[in-house]
Amino acid sequence: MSGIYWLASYPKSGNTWFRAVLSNFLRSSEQPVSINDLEGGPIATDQQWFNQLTGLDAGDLLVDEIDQLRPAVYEHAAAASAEPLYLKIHDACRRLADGQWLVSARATRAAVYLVRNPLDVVVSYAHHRGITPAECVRVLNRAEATGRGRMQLKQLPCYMGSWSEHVASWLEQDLFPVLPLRYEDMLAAPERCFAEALQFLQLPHDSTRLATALRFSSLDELQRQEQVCGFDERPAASSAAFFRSGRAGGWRDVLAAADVDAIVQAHGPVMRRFGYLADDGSLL
Amino acid sequence: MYCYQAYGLQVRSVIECPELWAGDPALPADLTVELGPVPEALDNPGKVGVTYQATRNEFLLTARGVARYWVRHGTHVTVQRQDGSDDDSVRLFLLGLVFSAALNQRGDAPLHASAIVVERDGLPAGAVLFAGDSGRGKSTLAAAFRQCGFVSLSDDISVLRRQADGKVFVYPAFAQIKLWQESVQMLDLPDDLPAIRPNLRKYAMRFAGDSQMSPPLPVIAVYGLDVGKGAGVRLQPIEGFDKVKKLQDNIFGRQYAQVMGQHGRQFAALLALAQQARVCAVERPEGVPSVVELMRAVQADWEQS
Repeated sequence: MSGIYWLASYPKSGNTWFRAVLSNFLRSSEQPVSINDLEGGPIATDQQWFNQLTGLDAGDLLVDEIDQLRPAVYEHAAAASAEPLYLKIHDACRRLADGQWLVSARATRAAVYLVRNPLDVVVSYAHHRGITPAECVRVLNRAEATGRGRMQLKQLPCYMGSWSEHVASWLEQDLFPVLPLRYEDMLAAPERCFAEALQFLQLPHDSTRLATALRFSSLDELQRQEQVCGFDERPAASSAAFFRSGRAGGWRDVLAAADVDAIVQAHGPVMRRFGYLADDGSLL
Repeated sequence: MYCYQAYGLQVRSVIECPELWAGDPALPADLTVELGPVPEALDNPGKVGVTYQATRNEFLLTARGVARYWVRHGTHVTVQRQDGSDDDSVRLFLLGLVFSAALNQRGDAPLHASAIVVERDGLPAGAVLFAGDSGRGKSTLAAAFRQCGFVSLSDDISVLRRQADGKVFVYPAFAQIKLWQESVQMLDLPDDLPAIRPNLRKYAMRFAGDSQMSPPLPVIAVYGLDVGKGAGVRLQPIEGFDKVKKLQDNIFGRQYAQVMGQHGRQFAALLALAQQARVCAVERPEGVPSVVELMRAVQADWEQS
């Protein structure tokens, strides 16, 4: 049966690691899968893919026109594939001006939604974009698109919303099933978490195969590959390696108190929901 | 009916197109553009995309909110405008995607490329093409060369035709180069260029009024542009059959061209082109502030060949 499994997340929330594990599990080969050849592509906002399927040039279109063609693009891709498709997406799951849902329910089987402590997201995303943590806090707190001011070379305009809005958009809709996965749980108990995810994706249960896939997707392996052959998805503006540290709680060493407060103030409720903030307001 | 020429075709159009060169009314029309009803769908389309359908001799394109276009046999285009559409948007799709469908139907090989004239001993000797996917810098490079005195043959779509003697020529398209705002600023162009469509920060450099149409010219070189991870510009000549593959990858409308049954003829033209011209892969870093290094690299290459 065909259809799309979305691998959805706000940026820097473990999406690539998830895709590495999934790719290694699916392909089950003797060597780790190349980080430049992972499942999950093309990303939902890939411009060449859009151009190819629509026959148009996204560069000649207005943002609304691009948005309103995207559901049909996903339906077209889903219908053309006998196998399920795994597609990475950073967009918020939202309704477009013409009433369509960007993430077409007809094209979709389900979504895995990865959540990570926004404090750690700030640190990682700041490196990724080559901006300061303070500037990055503003990004997470603001309803912001990646923008069209500078022409995006390979990407369509992507609207994420604020971090909380992004989480809510995926988890509070009833168009299709969503499995939320905490990045911190994936780190602490990878076998259990990924087994749950694979079952959700209707893949066969195979703990040996999963153990190998996890080994082939370890941070050491991903870092080694990035050093040797580079990672296509790392932006030119990035101030660090893509596979930088991967740990949870690194924000404590890096973020200024004012930045922490700004995040907690903006995203407290969702942080509480996912166990990043206790009821008494203390950080976990 | 307005009388134009573009891509080596005599065009008669009810839609006014200031971008196009004036045609010769004494010559018969190769392509006619009219307004009228367009069918909802084609019978048994061989290829269906999200916005288009194609059979061997017909092509249907829907640009929502703008117009629907119906292209038949490479000779007739019917345009059905939608309520609230603006003239610029109607023309934008017409002169690009729709014309390219007609060219594919006719068995021409439209490349996703911009082309300029190169001279030897002060005379036009041939054409150099900058090919590649959208956003790779074809138009910016062509505009930069134009600023340095080179003649622009085409922007975005360059039509190749094999002549009787087997040489492959590129035909002048029309006197316009489309540029993003960043390129307009980088090239220090006037800040009052017209937008190609309302509300889009992409602008048209138009020059039908102050230049003459060039004759068609043999292709000397094709540079496939891409963005790479390296620090500077890297130019790599391509040899053998890889040349043909590179050219095939840059056929405009290749996702439906096959259904039109002209790919054999197109392939023959690309094969001939590979034998006659240099084909190189050129990579530049993302987000460059200046196009000068790229210009030097390609110019040095075609001049020493």
